[in-house]
Amino acid sequence: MRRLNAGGRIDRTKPLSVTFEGRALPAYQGDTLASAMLAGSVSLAGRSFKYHRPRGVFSAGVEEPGALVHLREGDRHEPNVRATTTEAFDGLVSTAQNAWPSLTADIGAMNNILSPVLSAGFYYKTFIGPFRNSTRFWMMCEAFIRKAAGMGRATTLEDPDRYEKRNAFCDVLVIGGGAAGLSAALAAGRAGAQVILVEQDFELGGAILSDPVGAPGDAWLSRVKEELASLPNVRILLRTTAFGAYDGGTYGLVERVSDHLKTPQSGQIRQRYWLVHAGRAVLATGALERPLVFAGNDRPGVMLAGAVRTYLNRFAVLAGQNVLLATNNDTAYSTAAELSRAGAFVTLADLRADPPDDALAIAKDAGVTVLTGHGVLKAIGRKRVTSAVITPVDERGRAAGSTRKVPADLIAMSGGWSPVVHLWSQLYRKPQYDAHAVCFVPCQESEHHLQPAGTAFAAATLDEVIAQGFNRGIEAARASGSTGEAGDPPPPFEAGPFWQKNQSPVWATRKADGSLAGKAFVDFQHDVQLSDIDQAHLEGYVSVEHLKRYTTTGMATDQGKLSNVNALARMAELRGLSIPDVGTTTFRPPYTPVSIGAIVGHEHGRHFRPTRLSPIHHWHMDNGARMTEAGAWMRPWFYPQADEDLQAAYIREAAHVRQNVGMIDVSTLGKIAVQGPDAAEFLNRVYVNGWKTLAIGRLRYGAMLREDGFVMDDGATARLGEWDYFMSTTTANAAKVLAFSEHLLQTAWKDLKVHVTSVTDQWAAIALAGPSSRALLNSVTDADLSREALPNNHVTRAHIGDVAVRVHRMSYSGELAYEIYIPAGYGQHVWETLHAAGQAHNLKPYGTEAMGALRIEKGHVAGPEIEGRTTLKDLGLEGLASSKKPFVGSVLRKRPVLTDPDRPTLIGLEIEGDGGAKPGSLLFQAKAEAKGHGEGWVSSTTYSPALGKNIALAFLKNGKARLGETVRVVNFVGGETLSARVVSHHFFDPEGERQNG
Amino acid sequence: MAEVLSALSKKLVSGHYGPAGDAGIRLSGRRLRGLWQLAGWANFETAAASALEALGLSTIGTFQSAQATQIACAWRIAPDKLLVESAHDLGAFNSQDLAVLNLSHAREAIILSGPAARDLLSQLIAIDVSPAAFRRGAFLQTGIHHVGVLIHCVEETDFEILVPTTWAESGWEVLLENALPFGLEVHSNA
Amino acid sequence: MIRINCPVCGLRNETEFTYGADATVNRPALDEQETGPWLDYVFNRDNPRGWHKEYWHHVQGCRQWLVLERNTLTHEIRGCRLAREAGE
Repeated sequence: MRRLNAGGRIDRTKPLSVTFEGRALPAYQGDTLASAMLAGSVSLAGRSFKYHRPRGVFSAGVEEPGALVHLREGDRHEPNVRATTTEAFDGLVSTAQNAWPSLTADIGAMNNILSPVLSAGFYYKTFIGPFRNSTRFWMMCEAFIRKAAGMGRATTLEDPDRYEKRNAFCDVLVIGGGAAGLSAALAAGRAGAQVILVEQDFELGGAILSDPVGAPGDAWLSRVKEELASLPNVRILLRTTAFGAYDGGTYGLVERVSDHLKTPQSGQIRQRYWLVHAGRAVLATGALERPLVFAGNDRPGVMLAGAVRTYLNRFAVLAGQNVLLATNNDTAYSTAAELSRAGAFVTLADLRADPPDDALAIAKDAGVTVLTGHGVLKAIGRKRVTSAVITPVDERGRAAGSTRKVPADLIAMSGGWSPVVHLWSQLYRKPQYDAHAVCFVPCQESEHHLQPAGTAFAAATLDEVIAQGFNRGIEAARASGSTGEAGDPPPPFEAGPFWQKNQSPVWATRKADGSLAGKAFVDFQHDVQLSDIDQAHLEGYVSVEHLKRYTTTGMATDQGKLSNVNALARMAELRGLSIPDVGTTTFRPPYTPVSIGAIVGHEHGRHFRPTRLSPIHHWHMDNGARMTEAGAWMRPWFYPQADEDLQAAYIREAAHVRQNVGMIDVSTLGKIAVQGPDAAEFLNRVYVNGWKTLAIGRLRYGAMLREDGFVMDDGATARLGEWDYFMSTTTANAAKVLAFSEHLLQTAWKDLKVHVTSVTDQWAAIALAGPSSRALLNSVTDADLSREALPNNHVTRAHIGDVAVRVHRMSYSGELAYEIYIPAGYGQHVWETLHAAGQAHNLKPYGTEAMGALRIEKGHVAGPEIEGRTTLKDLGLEGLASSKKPFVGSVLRKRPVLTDPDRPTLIGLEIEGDGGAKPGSLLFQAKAEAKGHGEGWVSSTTYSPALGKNIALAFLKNGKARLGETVRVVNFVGGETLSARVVSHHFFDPEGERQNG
Repeated sequence: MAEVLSALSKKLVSGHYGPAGDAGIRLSGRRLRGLWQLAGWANFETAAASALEALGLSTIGTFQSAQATQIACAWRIAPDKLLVESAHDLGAFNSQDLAVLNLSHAREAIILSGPAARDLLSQLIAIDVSPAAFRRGAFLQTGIHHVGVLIHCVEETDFEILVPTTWAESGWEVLLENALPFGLEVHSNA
Repeated sequence: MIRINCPVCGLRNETEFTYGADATVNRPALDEQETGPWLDYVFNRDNPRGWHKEYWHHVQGCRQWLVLERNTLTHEIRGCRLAREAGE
């Protein structure tokens, strides 16, 4: 392996510092890491996935299964990077992966010896095998398997780079910047369409770049590039992979904006995820060469013939001096000739007995030895091939004559080409097998938004490639309404070999008895051998989709790129069917791996999801509140004094409310304006209780059910005017209740003149609770708050200072309490006014934890009780339901399963001992064994300062009849058992004297 | 007099962020003059007639196009709903046939402008915002970071984004994060 | 990506919408007292392969409920109307 003195598309004036395993490689601008490795005579690039077999550079593109490396260091370290698509940059540091203690002495290679037990279905059999009842044993095995299998090691450091998402819209998306794609973009661009052309490489040209420098393609390429650059409606994205094709003409692209630099420049992003919405797309993704199957076809030094040619012509690297080319078609002949002219000693073994004369002439002219009717039976050499066993073969590829060993430091193979149909297949389209072209080809459906062209459509000549691309480009532009003149296609040129001619269907070389001469691989990336396909067949697998999953062939990054056709061909052979009868698997996104960072974009950390802040948020922050997340909201959890912890703070806060007065920000409550002449009728239908009699200035507690009869939400609704109601929902269910209401009003109840609108953002809300709340509020408002003027469940308009507010007299804590609704922009002002005036009344703010304690003492239900599986009766709210009117869920709530008297119902628990219970604990009879699901569960727990003990809300089977009973409270997670006494859930002030005072 | 506290009060701090040089993006905020929802039923346009007249408007307008007068800007947000920015108190027009709702404190306007404003929008929403597709006077109701917003193209490179008040800070930060690579100027006054 | 042509807002990505329900089942009359029709409405669904009618909510848009005709096999959409106007 060596770099040639001249040629290639590299810039020899720009040498780069590139290392692999600490070794400096001779690299230039324009190299890939793989071409630099080959130029630096690195044969061993890594160890394989399962058997830890030595592997080297195998290809020159995205299909690379062998040269997968660790790239970069520290927080930018990245595993499983394909050296073949990694653009060389100054300061590139790479190391080998999947090898311990070192690449050359890898202990995991023992798996290679153990391979008989690690064959197809190993994972399945181990999971469901003799140890299936022994979780512990399997967990031990799993730890070992996880360490031994797998590939690179990811960093645990935070990714320092920025990523970005962008949406784009175009008339024509052209996927692939080779001859077909360039022609398509040119045609569509001339016609006036908005065009996006994407190319995964850092240069346009596709297969043209693998022709020698100065070949006719170069002039063609520069002319087309120049014209494209002159078209303002054509946008070209280099280093960009279209990895996914989705419904509605949507495509996912990833643009590697700065992966070709050591680090992104200041402010620059690393990668950009494009979501492109295209009227039409042209699939000009080209073709990938297929390997041949023989023993040792994975050894370092065995490569794809087309890749060898790419390294020679594009990178000026001769990948071997003593080259054995194995082929079943004509394309390898030109490669053989070019290698020979570059100074290699070349032998060509052709599985075909009778290659065409023109091919033979090419070889002969270049001094290449051709062995017709010969195949490679076995590659020899552990960390690098040193020789090969070749054999004359019959028409099935079986040895037919005496074998012989020939020296070789490079075995290049060509098994024909496979169109890259992945994006097409992702759209649930099945490619058809073309027996003449010996490959799977997409079908052309005239109305489909993705149209194949070029070698992706098995175009065999350059005329066809250009014509197909150009025509698909025009059609796509016309489909979007572009009417401009497209002119003539760019004239074809004489190109190097890019497509199989005269291919033989033979793809493997076997011994005379049909067996292989050693391990022969179909999926190099996942270490799937040909024998694994045989085994799967023996075990009864016939479907290709099952075969894929059982053997793992074509899974992970390969996605069938190299493995697909050979695996299918073997399955067909075994089943005595043709390849089209066996069919092919469905490819799924992504075509090549995409970093999670690109998909996430900015939506991580504090932007993982949106955050909603109360209008009073900054007061809480400025005054030492500890905040907690409640759905998307941030809420004050508690306001610690000195070094109080949560427990001390909430007990103090809750006790303070019962003795003095407290204030809490309840702006997060869902608020819905219900407006219109039929508003009362609407409320009557969605709530279980009646609303027709509610007078203006009154409010009422209500509960609503889902259609299936379970409780959905509860809250208070006030009547503000003749046609105006103000509904409040729980913080968590606000969006659900609004969407449900809109659904009913726009579908089943179209006749109701009602509008529902969220006003959650319009109103800040403050609850003022405690015996002194009236006195405090009186000191700041003009309203008459006397017991007679504003009894419980009444509403009044008032002013606090010069701010117009609404005062709802209602209580969640069980104390004399008010909820004050304030236009959001004045929320903090009113809070501060109350806080200042409150100092004379010993006012303290309290948080959600104390609010929880207060409501549990009162036995009020909340989210942990209204959790979607509880009925009105379970919650002790059946008295609320009206029997005089239908409402949502009124029929289904009476289903037998929902009225079963044995259903757990809401009760209170007084927990014995000093520690409280944990929510989720299960309840058992005092003397029953703690096994199974028990007779109920604990939903909410708190320490009650009013009662001086730990209490809980819980659901207990037939609970109402069991007051006074002692039950066991078992927390299986914490392994803790407590005793508790069953009591009424109205722990405190059951008559409600305090709130009505 | 009590002052209205903007939900963006902590965010509207003038300064230059991101790479030095000309800023591609300018961000500022604006308190709305007053925001009202007018909603009706089958005879919506008739029911809204007197309210519209008071605002200097003759029709409820069409979807996706804003109507602006000296004293109001109106967006037809649904078949039977109009959102109106106006300093006028429209509460008096509330009737059996026209539901008037004061939303003046429910939204804040984030003002996005600059040569890269459309690029920034294309990072946030999956809608074609090219000059040909999203013209002056047009508006969109869409989601930024899963939150419903209204984006009004006021001028070729000037956009107003009406955001829910309680999400204004979080939404501002999302815009800021996305805007940084373009270079960003924040103006405390619109 | 399903693209939905909302009659109010225009062509939008499915990410702005939430799927609501099967639009081929009708809610029983408000005063229906029999359990059967309600069980059918809430629980019993066909699972058609091909064209189907569905409710979608343009929740990050105009907040209108839509009736979509969607092909469950290909995800093609051939009709989208406001729910309030559908079936009239």
